[in-house]
Amino acid sequence: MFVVANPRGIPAGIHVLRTAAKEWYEGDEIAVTDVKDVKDFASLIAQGYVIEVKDG
Amino acid sequence: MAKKSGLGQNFFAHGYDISGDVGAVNNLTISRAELLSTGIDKTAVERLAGIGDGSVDFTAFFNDAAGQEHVALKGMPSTVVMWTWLVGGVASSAVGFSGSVQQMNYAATRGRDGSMELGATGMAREGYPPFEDHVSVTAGKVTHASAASSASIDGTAGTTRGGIGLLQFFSRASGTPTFLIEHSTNDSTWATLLTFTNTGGASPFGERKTVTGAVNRYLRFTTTGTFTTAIAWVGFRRGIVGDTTDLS
Repeated sequence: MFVVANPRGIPAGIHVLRTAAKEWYEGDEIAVTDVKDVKDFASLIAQGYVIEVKDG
Repeated sequence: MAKKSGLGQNFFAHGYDISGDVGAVNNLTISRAELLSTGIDKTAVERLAGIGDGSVDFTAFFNDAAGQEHVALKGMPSTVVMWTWLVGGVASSAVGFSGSVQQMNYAATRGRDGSMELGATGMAREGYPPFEDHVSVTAGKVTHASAASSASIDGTAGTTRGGIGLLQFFSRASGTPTFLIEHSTNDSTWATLLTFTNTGGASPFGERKTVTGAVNRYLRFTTTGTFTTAIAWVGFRRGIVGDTTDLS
């Protein structure tokens, strides 16, 4: 699964990521079904906005 | 970009739009001290860059209406103020200069012909070079009726040396807007690049805030929170090779 991180130190209560349809805050899980709606997901991972949490 | 005249510009003084009162910007200087360092083995001068400095001087027509020139300048604040000159006009992506300065004077002249002019000078005070160049993220002053995002600007490519966000907050009707700059690689999925420290209230203000690391290709101005009718301008300067402060 994927979890939203906060590499920029954005204050609590302010979204870290958003698309036209949805906002995500630090600690929010991005459902696998939503990943397809988030363009360039790989760059968000590379920049630390999203962390992949692997089972186990 | 092409050659341009000085028509259609704006000038903001720490959250006051005094564009209609400023009649002339007499001088804006970004400078460095010269440190001569010529070795005896050279046949021409060698120089090193010394300490930076900057100043701006403008002349305005007297206007004591609410939110205008006299209200903005008469206080001679001892604290830092941010002045912004949109030299490239009010379009988004247009270039300008902003400086966190100390207001050094407020000088009046009454001419024999009845004219009344007031001038002010701002000089560097914060220990970093004032009057950084930037592009407008917003198309001049923009109004958000409630939490919203303005149209994005395209930097044509992402950069990796951080940058400087610049905000002029003019007013809001009610509530407390929070001001963000978001960035995106694709103009579709947005991540929050920086959040300005000050939120909108009864008093206008200007703010400069730095951010390090990657800055993606697209930028836009976003407000959050519960409020009505917030008016602001936002600019951004991408860090480049050779900056005195590396924001990589």
